[in-house]
Amino acid sequence: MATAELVYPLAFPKSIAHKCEICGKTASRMCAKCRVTFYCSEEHQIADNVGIHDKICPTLATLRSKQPFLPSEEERRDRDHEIREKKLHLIEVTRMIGERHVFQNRYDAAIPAALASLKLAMDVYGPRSVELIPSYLILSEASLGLKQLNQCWEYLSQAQYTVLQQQNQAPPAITSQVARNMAQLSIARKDYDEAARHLANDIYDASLYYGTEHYKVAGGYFLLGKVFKLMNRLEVTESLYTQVTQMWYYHLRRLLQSRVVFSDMDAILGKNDDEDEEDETTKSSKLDLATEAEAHNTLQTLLAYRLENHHGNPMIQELNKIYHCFTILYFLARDYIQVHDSMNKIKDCNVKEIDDDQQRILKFLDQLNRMKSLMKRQQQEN
Amino acid sequence: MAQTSISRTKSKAKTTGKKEHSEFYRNVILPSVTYKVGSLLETKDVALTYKKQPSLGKVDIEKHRNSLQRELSIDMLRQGYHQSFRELSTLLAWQKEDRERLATEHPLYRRPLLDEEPDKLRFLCVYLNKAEEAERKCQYSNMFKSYLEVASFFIKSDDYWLSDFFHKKCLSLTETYSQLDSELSSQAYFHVGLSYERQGYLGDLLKALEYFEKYREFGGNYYEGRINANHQLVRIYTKLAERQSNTDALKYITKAYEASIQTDDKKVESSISYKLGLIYLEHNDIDSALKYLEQYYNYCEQVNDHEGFGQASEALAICYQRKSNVEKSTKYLTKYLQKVSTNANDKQYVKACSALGLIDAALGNYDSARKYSKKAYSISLNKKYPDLDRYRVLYGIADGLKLQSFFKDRIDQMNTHALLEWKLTRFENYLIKSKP
Repeated sequence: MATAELVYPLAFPKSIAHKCEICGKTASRMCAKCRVTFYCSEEHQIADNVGIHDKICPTLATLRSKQPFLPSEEERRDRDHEIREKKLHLIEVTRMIGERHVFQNRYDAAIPAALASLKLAMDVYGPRSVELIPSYLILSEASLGLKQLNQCWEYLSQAQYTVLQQQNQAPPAITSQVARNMAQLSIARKDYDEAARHLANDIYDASLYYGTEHYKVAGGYFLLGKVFKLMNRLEVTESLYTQVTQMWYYHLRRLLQSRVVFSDMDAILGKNDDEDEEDETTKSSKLDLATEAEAHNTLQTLLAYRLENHHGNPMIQELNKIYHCFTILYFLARDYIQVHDSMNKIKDCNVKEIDDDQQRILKFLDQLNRMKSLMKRQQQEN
Repeated sequence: MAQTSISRTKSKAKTTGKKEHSEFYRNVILPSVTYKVGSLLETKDVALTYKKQPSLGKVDIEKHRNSLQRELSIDMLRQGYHQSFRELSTLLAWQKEDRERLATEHPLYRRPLLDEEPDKLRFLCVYLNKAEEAERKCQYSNMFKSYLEVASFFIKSDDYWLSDFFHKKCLSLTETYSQLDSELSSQAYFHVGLSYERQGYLGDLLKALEYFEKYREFGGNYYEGRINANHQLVRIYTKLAERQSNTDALKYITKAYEASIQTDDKKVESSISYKLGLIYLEHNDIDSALKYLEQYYNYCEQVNDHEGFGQASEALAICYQRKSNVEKSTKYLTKYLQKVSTNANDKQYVKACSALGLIDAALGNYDSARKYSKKAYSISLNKKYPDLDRYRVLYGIADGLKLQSFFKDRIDQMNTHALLEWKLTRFENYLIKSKP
């Protein structure tokens, strides 16, 4: 890499021994831009660069460089505070990047990002805190994706041990996530009973935290359905998948309805929304990347299941629900071409709600097109 | 000498409890190494047996740590019964919310939360699972039956909120899946009607009425169901009539009568006709009253129900009296008296006498009125009947009415002196004697 610089381990002062970011071996290369990140080999450097280092290089430089001595206590406190804030921000950023990599199935890029977030979190919170668990979870998902089951098991055990140590302080949302990932590992190991047990724990915790009809619990139900399908008990799968469809359907419809439709129009016309208003209204109705990816995957699997298992007479209502969910999903992600596609797949639908929603969407798209053509004409005139 | 003997007895008392060890044993064998090694071996055995014990598996550890609700929910989820899990959590959350809403001194608080009653929870879970299993296989009648079982269990344990909930579930099942056996659906209506009736408010009673009507409708092909439905309807109508004002009461009782005819039970029918008669009497509709009261009268005569017979005769007498048909009313009452006079001290006899006395007083036959009410009063005085005051009052009234004309004469003549004398003694002779 152009930004690499060779360093000699023996040249460092006695107490300093730089280790590789990825594997922890003695480092012989250094990133030339920030000069504080070290690697043992070119592959590791490339992997880290692709994963995360590109995006956080300058920030790392300020964080890891040796701080000059400040004379007053106050100034030192302020500086420490600043550094902590930066680290916290960085933890979030690295986690998000790691998650995005996982959704896009780029597992080898996800690992450096998650590792970076883990190290920063350990710095800030200490090695035993509950805050490290999300990083562990990303690492476990990535290693599962790379089929390294033992690594995955290690990371998850770490997460579980942390939960155990802080028994009453781990919020159920986190324990449910841990259980979910453990279940995925068990599925990969073909230990379906264990998986069912973990998923039961997951669903219970998630229901406790979010409420029994929340869409976050749907992930657990979905995996449980998968487990029963692999155990060949299809009637259970059937009822579970129906439930999942129902939950996502409900959630997406709610998003559609609560979404302030005109904020989109305003954005086109160049108006500025009130900062506060947007936060309040769109917080609950935002479809963030994680949920979107999850919904997409889930719905596709559900659709495939429905189409393959009922060759003769598919449950039309269920199919329509799934297609409608797709419609809303594409609409919220502003993928308007797909919206029309999936709307056309809905046949024979007698449900008033779906019709209502479709009318709304069509009306909105119509207005959008008209606006766009108006603006084009204006531009042409100008 | 004495001291040594005491010490000897002391040491004897000590060692009798334990095994008798000789001195040699105590001083030579016990401290020896071989003995110590032997005891070590014993402890080693103990350690080995401890190790051989099976260690708790993960699942068992969890069982000890988790709350009952959590454990049951996880069990259900592991087997895939997610609907049951959701039902359970909603029920428990609902109960807690309810408790929080009510004030803390509400008597309901004394009963433990459902969380803490393991057998009820387990029973509930088992049957919820059965219901879910049945639903998956589309065996809706089985599902219905499991819900019904749960509801009846909770009725027995006095948890009406739960049994009502499950009865309503049965009802919604029948409404969504109309191919269900009509017998089951009629049962659903019956139970829901009962639960509304139990709650006791007027609106609830009306709702209960609706459901009982539906019960009758659906139980149409099913003989016993129909009979039962009509019984319930009769009950509900009478309750409603008791609560409501007069005009509505009449409507309800007539409806109750119609229902009672269909119950094929003469007893119910005639008691309702009695009530109907009374209501008509209140509304001064004498003819219809007569019709129904006569029906009741005939029935009581058939069945030899003395008390009912007495009530009927009284009522009939009042009717005829209102119609100013003197002979008929006296006829009924004398008949009643005759029937009851087999046992002169019977309560019925007393009632009959007082009734006759009342009628006579209304008709103006003060002498016979006085005679009968005096009889009633004296018997009830002897027997210490609870209605004593009533008879006493009636006797007094009859007495007074008898002397009424004399009293008026005295007042006309302004003969205050004679009146005062009479008032002092209240003997009849005073008044009658000085009649000019």
